[in-house]
Amino acid sequence: MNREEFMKQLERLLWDIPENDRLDAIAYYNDYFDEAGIENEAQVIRELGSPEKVAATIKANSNMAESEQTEYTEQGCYTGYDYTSKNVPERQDMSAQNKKQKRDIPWPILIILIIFASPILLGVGGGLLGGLIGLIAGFFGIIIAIAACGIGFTIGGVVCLAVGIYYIFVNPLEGLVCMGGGGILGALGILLVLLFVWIVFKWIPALFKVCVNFCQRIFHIGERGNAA
Amino acid sequence: MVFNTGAALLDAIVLAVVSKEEQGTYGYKITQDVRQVLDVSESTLYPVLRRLQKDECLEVYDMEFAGRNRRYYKLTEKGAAQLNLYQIEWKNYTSKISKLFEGGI
Repeated sequence: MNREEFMKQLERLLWDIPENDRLDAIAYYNDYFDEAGIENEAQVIRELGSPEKVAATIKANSNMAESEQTEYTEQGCYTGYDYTSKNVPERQDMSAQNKKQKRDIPWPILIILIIFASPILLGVGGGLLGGLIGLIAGFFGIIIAIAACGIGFTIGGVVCLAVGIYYIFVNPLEGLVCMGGGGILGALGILLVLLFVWIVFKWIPALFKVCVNFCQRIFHIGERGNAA
Repeated sequence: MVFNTGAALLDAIVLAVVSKEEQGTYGYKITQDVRQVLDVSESTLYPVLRRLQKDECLEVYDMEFAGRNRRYYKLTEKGAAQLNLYQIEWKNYTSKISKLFEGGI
């Protein structure tokens, strides 16, 4: 264990004492290492024992400052109970895991933060999700509208054409106009249907591919981040 | 040492060490000085200093040294009075024990 690890663990272990006490203790031991110099770093760490022991000493004294139970011996100070083994959660064997997770905020505080932030998180997250679903739904709506228009125009065109052919025998002018309108309508309808087919068979697979690629990239970045 | 050092004696020793320096002294040096007479662990002294500071026997101030802040501890008036009391008590205590050891109360 080097100085940095020692101080990090000490800070973590002191999460439950008042902040100014914690900052003072951290400043003191940082100072202490500075005064001792790099060449004595290992010796200081050996003499201090473990972060657990240092933290327990600090806590024992801040809790029972007035108590006369405290006894200082050559091995350290004792307050009548064995804090080196039981009072402090064992963290040393977890240091490898801790390094991987690199979690600086103690988890109880993290949970409290998440609970308190949940209205905001839910609001923002829900809003984003809603927006995304809305966009997708809107996109599909437009596609369906194109298809519906196409089919409607085509049917309308065909009907107009048929009516026009019928009318041409009764009133040739109106019949011709009707036929012309029906032809234009039918052409537009066929064009829209073709556009719909083109979108469905060309754009959607392309869009789908882009989405899959994007998700894969995120996933791979995540994997790389974990491996590093 | 076979005798344990109680909280009061350790307070007295720390106050005495700090009182030697008119301008105050810093944590690492206090520890080294105390360790010359008493084999205490390095982690023992911080809580003592913190407590004496809270009890207003010591005051702290920061001064720059070699490009960083160094925290100095200095005896207050209350600390000086407390040290004086400890010294009188110590004299009484040790003289009684010595008398006993050397025979005849």
